[in-house]
Amino acid sequence: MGESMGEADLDRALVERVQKGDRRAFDLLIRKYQHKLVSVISRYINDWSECQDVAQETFIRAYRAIGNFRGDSQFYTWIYKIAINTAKNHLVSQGRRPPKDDISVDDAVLLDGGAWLKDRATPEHELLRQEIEQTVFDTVEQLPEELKTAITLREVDGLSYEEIAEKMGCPIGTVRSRIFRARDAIDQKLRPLLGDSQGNDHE
Amino acid sequence: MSDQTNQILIAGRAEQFGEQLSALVDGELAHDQVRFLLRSVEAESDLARRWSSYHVISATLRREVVALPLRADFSKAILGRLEADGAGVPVVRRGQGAVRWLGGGAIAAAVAVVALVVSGPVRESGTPAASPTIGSMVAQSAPATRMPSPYLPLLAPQKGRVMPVDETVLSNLYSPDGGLLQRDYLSQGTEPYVLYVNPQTRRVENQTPFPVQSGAAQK
Repeated sequence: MGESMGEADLDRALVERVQKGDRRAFDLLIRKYQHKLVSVISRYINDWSECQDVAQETFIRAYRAIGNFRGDSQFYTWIYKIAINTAKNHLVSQGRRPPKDDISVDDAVLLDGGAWLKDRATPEHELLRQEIEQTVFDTVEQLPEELKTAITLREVDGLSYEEIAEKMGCPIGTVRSRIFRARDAIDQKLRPLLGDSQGNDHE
Repeated sequence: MSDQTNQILIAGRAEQFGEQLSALVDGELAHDQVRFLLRSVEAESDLARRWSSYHVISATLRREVVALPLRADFSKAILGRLEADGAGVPVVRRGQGAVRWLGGGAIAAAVAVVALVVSGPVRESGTPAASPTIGSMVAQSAPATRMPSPYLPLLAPQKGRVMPVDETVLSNLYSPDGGLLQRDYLSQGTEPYVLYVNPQTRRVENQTPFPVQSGAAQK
């Protein structure tokens, strides 16, 4: 097997494909970052539907400006700034005053345990969000031990496949398979909640 | 080939793609497999769904706050709008590092606007002589230890004034009326300038050199 492509490399590769006109690559970037960006935007805009409008506008602007992206920063950092500016422009265009202070890109999805998000969502949305979260953790708990360990070492501890292989005393290929099987099991449980078409079917 | 054999083959392929996709999420897929997998995503619509789901799973396990649920056609609507707007292939001007998306009437408008602007002389460093940039104005007015705020409102464009914009600051600027700011270059060797796209007409209306509001820059 050749050298692996890191996450930043992957984003860069996807961006390069978009720059060559590959809309499917842009679709993957949208799907990768859509939830994070809506979450960030929801710090500026109260209405859940508006948050999604602004997030969609962010991606449109990003597409139009993606030629400017030269890889000096990470793609997420770049689009994060576009999202914040788009959110503020939106507020100003509505005659509302944007907040003076911004949160850092690192803190954007970690602060307050998402308390602000709970305020934005409808009770139904919040219930569904909690159900999704609970399903993920419950499914992990029910996984066979080797799958649970592999996915935890990867997602919670942030270890590479090589480090996990060393810790678990198995080949990297086995780690890859275990992590996939763990994700697949969680995905099966999430599918009815997220929907089948575009990742979710809920308005 | 019997239906049963066919189903086994399809299931095997789905398993193989799924495992590769999972490795891709972790940045652990070999370069030579990435291109093949990305091509497969086009053919296998479920891979795109799983890609999205795997990221939701990752973010949830990392205790990141995930905005859920989104609209059913969130991504499709964006791609549909780009299609409807006639958004072409993003154009990269190699060598300058400057790029601009060109599509529809924006091209003509942008060219017309750019043609009106006279660039100042360029020093060897690439910075126009005796011409303060928006970036430098921000740098002078903001404390050195603070990162530039990503929220710097711009005043309405002033005719006849052209100011180069520091590209590290451009992404931090916004237009108070919701207009879109885009960077552009006049020609090789010049500093980037800001183009202003009217939010109503979606056309390039003016070359900004908008000065940053002094009050905002001092925030």
